Amino acid sequence: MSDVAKYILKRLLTGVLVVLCVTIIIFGILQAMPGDPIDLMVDTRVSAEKVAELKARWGLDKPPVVQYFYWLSNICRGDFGTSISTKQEVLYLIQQRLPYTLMLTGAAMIIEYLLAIPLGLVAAVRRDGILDKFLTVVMVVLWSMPAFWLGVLLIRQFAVKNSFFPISGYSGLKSLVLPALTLALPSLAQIFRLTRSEVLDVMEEKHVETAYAKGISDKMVLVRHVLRNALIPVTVTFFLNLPWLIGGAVVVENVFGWPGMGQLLWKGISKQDFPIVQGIVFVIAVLTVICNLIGDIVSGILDPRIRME
Amino acid sequence: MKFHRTTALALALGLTLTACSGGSESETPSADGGSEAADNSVLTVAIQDEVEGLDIQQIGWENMVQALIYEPLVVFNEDLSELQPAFAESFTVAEDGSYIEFVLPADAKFSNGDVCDAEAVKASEERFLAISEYAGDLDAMESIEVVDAQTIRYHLSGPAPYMWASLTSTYGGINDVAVAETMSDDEFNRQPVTNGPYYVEEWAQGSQVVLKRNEYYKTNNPNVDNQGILAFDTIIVRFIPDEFTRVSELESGDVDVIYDVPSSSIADLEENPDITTYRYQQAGVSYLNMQTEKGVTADIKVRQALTLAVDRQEILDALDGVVTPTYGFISEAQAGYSAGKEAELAEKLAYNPEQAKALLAEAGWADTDGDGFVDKDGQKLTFELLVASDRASIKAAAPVLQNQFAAIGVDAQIREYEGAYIKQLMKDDDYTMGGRNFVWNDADILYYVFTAESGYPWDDPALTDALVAARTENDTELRVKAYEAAQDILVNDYKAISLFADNYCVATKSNIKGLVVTNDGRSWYNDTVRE
Repeated sequence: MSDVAKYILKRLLTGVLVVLCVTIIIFGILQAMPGDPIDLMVDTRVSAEKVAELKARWGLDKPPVVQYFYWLSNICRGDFGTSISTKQEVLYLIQQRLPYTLMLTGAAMIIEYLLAIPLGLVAAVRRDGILDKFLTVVMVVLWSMPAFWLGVLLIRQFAVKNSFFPISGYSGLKSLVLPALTLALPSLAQIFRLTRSEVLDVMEEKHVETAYAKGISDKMVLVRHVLRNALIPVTVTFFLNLPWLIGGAVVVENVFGWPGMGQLLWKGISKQDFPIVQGIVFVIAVLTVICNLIGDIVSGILDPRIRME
Repeated sequence: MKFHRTTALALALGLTLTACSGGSESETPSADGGSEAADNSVLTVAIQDEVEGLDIQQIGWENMVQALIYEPLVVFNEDLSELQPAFAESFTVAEDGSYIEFVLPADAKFSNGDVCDAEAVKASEERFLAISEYAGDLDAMESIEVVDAQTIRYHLSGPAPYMWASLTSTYGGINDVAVAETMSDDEFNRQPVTNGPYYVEEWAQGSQVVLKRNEYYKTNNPNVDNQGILAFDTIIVRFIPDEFTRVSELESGDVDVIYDVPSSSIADLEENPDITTYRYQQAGVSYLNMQTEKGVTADIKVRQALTLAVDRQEILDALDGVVTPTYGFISEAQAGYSAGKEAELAEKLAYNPEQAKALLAEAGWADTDGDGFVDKDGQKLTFELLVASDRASIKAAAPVLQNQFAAIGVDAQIREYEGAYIKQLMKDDDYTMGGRNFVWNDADILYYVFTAESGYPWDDPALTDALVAARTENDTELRVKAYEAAQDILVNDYKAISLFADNYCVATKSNIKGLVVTNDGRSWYNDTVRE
């Protein structure tokens, strides 16, 4: 087995442990929450006997440890269980919504990187200039904006006052614009700052000075020598950010009525619907592990020094 | 200057993404609200919460989606004072209450064209009794007899008028069990075959339900003019959880009807000439439940003092009129309501802080240390006021109540928990005062709240007897009287303080005519058209 294969296997095994730990923690938190999913679900006029029968049907009368291992053994067989509140297969519910969440987060990340990298580069080259300061202030403002507020603002301006885009729901790519912008703009600052500082670091390295000394044009130096090196950590961040964005989509999906996993997760938590919450957290944890691994591999491809280490 | 090109490129790429997306076609019927709204055959409705399922026999709560796909055999009229036929042609109740007989239309069909005769109704009712969480609502039903193809008789253990609340609600709708048996429960829950004015064409998870007109639909509901198929070919019900977004969709014309209008938007919508609003009331009340067996509220004088310390007008003002004050425990939107009893209780339980203070003094409570709160034997009169964080109105009322209690020298410490947790604390008898609410269109809900049937530790035999007598009284007027008597027992013990019934609002575009929203929140779309 090659060193790379061994490395990937090791990371995957670590990833399995991470996923297990995450599911145990989430299960513990859900158990610690006051209340009970059946009590939340049923109306006053459902008798105490019926409530007890429902709890038994969902295995909620068993000790938490037994419930967890029952869930774990099922998920190992690909059975995500059935939602307590909707009585539908959790896997079906996730399958229906995951594509929308990935579409939203994917579009947000594309917008984020397409805007943040060039702006970060411009700010670094114009360091301490008016443009740099202006962009920095804009990024701080965007970073400070709560997503729901930004969403409402965008809806008001671009969907209600001017009917450029649909207000809510999914109706093709047009309806993706406002929620994707709402998700992307507040996190723009992170990539902007990273790009700016990496570019500044690389610009001070000797190979850049050498390139300038050789008479290579400013544009070529910046693109081939500065940006290429500066983008390595930025690229890795891309993969690390993806799962976080899925988490951040909860609020945005709610504001825009986006049929993604975030809404489902929110409802699952508010109704203490263990199978739904556990199922979605499991998917996010697996995605996190995979994205981390891809990030490591990509950084190794981009920077041979990392591969050597 | 050379970077301007880079910046421009980046911005151009971003804008290109936006611009490209702008030209995309709508993929779902509801998606491009503008184009749909122009189509007279489609009505678009927005509601807050996605349905948890569509098979009425498998779900724990229902809304207007299920109401559009199911038709009960009978209905209450608008003010809940009279029973009338709906899917059934006629019905008869035995004088001794031993049976109810329904006569079905000769050509009754489900939405798929299957015959909906007495056998089909029997199969549906038996499935309800077997699998529904609310099978207990029909606990008096001993057997179901198919008299002939059109006639079905429910044999009862005795008079059980409380069953009407279930039979007249969406839960009284009929499922095509022959189809249900060919599918898994999960599948049938997504696409049931039913007897209502619409059937489910598609349920896009997290997004919308597309309902198509049932071409076999007929009703005998005398409250509507159109007793045949409805005007709109398609009703799209979209799920929009955010209230601002829901209102914006209505104002922009992308949806025609919205439910769960936020209280903060009602005044604006009422002033908008393009919008029509319909108000209705909670079929139940929000109330404060008090511990009667232990702690500071074990003394009836303290409970009476707390009751008289509540100024409902101040609560109403603080909540911007989104509630209707109640003194009794049956709201106007419930069968069994008595305006006379409500007026009598309003007088008896009127805000009277001076009498409240005097009652506390009689009970031995006085402010001996000058801290503004009364005390006895060195102990301050303090308790936790449990408030459900998931009930907006009672949560908003809690600080007002806290101030009102403080005004008579009582220190109520607000504790917010999920409603279900408060319910659990009450079952465990671990509370002093907690805010609760109930919703059901019949006063029989009191039986499930204030007797041992509730699972709570309290049991007042006199109150239980009164509530049992009321729920089994077939005569409507006598039944109201029986509930008046039951409320007297409840009030005289100062077990609970009734606060208010929430006011709700449905809003439509003004060109949508003929929608009927009853005071208890039922929507009849039979006469609804777009003008």
